Amino acid sequence: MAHTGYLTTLSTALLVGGMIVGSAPVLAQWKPTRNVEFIVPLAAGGGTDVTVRHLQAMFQKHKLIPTTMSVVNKPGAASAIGYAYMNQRRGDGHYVSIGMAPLYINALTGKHPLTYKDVTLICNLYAEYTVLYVREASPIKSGKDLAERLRKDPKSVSFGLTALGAGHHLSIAKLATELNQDPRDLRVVVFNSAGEAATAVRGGHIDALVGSAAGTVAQLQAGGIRVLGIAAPKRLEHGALAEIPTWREQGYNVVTVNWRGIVGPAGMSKEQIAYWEDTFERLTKTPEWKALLEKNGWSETFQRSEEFAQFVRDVEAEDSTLLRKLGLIK
Amino acid sequence: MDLLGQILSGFAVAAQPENLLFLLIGTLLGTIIGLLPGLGPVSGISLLIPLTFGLPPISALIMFAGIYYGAAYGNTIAAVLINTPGTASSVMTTLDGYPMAQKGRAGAALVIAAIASFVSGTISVVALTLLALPLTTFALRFGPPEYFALMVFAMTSVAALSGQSVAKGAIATLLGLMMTTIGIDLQTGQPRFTMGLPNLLDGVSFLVQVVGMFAVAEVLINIEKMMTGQAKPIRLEGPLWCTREELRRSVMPIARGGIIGFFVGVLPGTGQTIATILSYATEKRLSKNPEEFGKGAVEGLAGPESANNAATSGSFVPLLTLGVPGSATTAVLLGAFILYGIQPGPQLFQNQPELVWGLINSMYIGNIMLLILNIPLVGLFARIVYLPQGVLMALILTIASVSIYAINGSVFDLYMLLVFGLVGYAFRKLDIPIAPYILAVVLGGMLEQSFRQAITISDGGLGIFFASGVCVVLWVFSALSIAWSIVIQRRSGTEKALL
Repeated sequence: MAHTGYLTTLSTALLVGGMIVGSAPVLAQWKPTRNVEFIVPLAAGGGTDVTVRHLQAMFQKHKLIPTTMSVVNKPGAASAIGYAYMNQRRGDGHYVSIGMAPLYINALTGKHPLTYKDVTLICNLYAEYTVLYVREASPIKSGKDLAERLRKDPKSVSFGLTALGAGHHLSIAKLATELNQDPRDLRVVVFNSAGEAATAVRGGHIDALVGSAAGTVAQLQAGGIRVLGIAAPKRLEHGALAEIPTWREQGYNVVTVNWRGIVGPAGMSKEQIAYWEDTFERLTKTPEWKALLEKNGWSETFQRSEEFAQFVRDVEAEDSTLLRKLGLIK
Repeated sequence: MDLLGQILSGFAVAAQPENLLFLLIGTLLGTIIGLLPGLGPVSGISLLIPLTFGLPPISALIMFAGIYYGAAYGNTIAAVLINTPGTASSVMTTLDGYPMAQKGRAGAALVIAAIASFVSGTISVVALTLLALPLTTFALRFGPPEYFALMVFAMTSVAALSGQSVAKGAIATLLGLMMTTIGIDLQTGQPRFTMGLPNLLDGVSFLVQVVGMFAVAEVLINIEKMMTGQAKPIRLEGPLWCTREELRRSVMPIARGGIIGFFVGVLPGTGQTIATILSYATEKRLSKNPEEFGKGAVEGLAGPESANNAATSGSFVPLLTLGVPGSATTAVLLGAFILYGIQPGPQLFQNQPELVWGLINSMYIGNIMLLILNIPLVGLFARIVYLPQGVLMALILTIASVSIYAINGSVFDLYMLLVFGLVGYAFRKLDIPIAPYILAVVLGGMLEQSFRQAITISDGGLGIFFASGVCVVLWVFSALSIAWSIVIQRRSGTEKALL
C-alpha cells in the first residue's frame, strides 16, 4: 500500500512538473499547492452562493486548478464578516472570494469600515443589470410612461425592492435625478425577499418592482408581468431579456451595474494575482460559464486586476454621489 | 392530453427506476439533514446543485424536493428527543413532543409524528394536484396590510401558548418583539441596537436563540437536577409504538392541521411557521383538556406536525405557478429550475406536464418512503432518551454546538448560544413560557415591517388596513380568537392567575 501511495505522489509530481515546463506562462510561477477556499460572504442558498458553487463545479470539471476547491459561507454584516475572515490570511493565494458593491457601500453608509482598498482586487467577472417591471394589468405601459408619471409626481408610483442603497435602489434614484426630482421623494417599500416583493407587485399592492435580472427571467417566462426597462449600457445580446429596451434607448441615462468580481486577501503577490487572473479568464471560456450567463441574463465583464480597480473606483464615485442625494451618507 | 392523463403519466415518470433511486437518496439525505439543527435543507440543496449537472432535470428536482420534505421528518426527531427544533416550523413540535418523550412515550410521539406527516403530506399533495392553479390568486391577495393583519392574528395565539400566567406570557412576547428590532432596519437601512458589533448587523440568529433556549437550557436544568439529586431516569411507559387511544385522539388534529397547513403554507414568507402555530392554538382551544397541553398532549404534537408537512406542499404552489419562492428552500429550488432551463409559471403545466406531474407525484411516493424509513427507526431513535443522563446531556450539547457552528462557521454564534442557554435557564427558573418568546421572535420582524410597508404605500393613512376583504376577515378572526381566550380563561377560573 505504502508503495502505491508513493508512486502516485511521484507520478503526480512528474505530471505537474511536466505541465509547468510544457506551458509555463511568463508570470504564473505561483500556483496553489493545497485546497483553495472560495469564501462566499453570504448565506448558503442565495443567488450568488449558487453561482459560486457552479464556479466550483467548473473548476473541478475542467481541472482549472491543480488542487481541490471548497466553498465556505461566511455571511454577516452586509458581507463584511466574510471579507474580514479572508483577510486573516494575509498574502495567502489559497483564499479567494467574490467581490461586490458592499466593498464600498458599507463604508459609505457607515455599516462597516472594510473596503475594496483592504483586499486584493483580482478580476472583474460578470455584471447583472437592474430590471424594472410592473404587472400586466398595470396602467403604466412603458418606461417613458413611468418616467412621465414620476416627473409630475415622484410619489405617484410605489417601488418594491430588497435593500436600501443597493444597486436596484440606485437605479430608480438615478432615474429620479434624470427627471430633476429629489430621489428621496420616491415611494420605496423594502421587502425581506425578492419573492415577497414579486408577490406584492403581482397582486397589485405595489406598482413596480426593481430587481435582479435572474429573478426577472423566471417571472417573465411565467407571464403576467411587463418589463419596462433594463439599466444596462446596451441591450443584452442573448436570453429572455434581449427584448427589453434599455433606459438609454428610452431617453434616460440610467445605467446601474451590480458587478461581481474576484477578490483575495490583502497583500497578495503579483504572481498570485497573475495566476488567478489567468485561471478565471480560462474559466470564462468554458461553455458552462457561457450557458450560466445566458440563463441568468448576465453580461460578461472580465477585466484584469488594474482595469478592475479603476472600474471599482469609478462606480464608487458615481454611487457615492447618488447615496448622498438619497441621504444615506451622513 | 387531458388533465387526468397528464397526472397519470406523471406517475409513470416518478416511478422510473432512476427517479425512484434519486427520490430515495433525497428522502434519506433529507432525514439526516433534518436531524442536525444547523444543517437545513437550504444548505443541503445548494451543496448538491453543482453535483447534479448532467442528470436529467426531473431526477434532480425529485431528489431536491425529497430533501425538502424529508428534512421535516428529521427535524421532528430532533425536536421530540432532544428538545432541539432545527427550524422555526418545528418549534411547536417540541412543546408537547418533548414532554411526551420525557413521560416515556418517545416512540409513540415519533410514530404519531410520522403518521401525521405522512397523512397530511399525501392529502396536501392531492390538494396541490387539484388546487395549484386556483390558489395562485389567493396568494396574490396578500400584500403588506394583509400580512400585518395575519401577523396580528397569529400573535393572538400567544394566550394559548402562555400557560398559566397571562402576565408572564406578555413579558415573554415583549422580550421577543424587542429582540427582533436588533440589526439593520429594512425600511431605513440603519443599524439598530447593534452596540457597534458587526456580528449583530443581521440581527440575532433565530436558530441560535431556539437551540440555546431549548436545548442548552434543558441541559442546564438537567445538570441542576442531577446535582440536587432530583433526576429521575426515564422509563419506557406502555408499548413502544403508539396506543390505539393515542392514535384515535390524533385523527382530527391531523385533519385540521393538514387543512390549515396547506392553505397558510401557500403564503410566501412565514407561511409554514404560522401554519404550525395556528394549528397548535386551534387544537388547544378545541381540546376538552387544554391544561394537558405543554405536558405531553398528543393532539399538540399531531396537529402542528401535520400542518408543517402540508405547508411544505402548499409552498410549491407559488413556486410552480408564478416562479415566486415562498421560503428560503423554495428559493434555492427556483434557482435549480432556472439552471435546468425550466421556467415555472402557469404554462409550465401545459408545456412540460410530465415534469410538473412527475415532480408532484414523486411526493406521494416520497412520503411513503419516508414512512417506511422512519417507522423501523423509531425503536432505535427512541432509545436515545433512555441513555444515562450524563451521556445524553453531553450528546445534546455537542450536537447543539456543532450544528450552530455549521450554519455560518461563526464563533460569535457559539458565545450567543451560551448566552441564550442561560436566558432559557432563567426563563425556566422564573416559570416564564418560552413558546410566546419564540413566536414573537418569528413573527415580530414581519409584524413591524409589514406595518411600515403598508404605511409607506398609503402615505400614512390607516384605512389601508381595512381596505380589503382579506384584512377584514383576519381582524374578525383576531377578535374572535381573543374573545375565545378570555372565555376559556373565565371558564377554567384562572383569572386569579393573571399575575
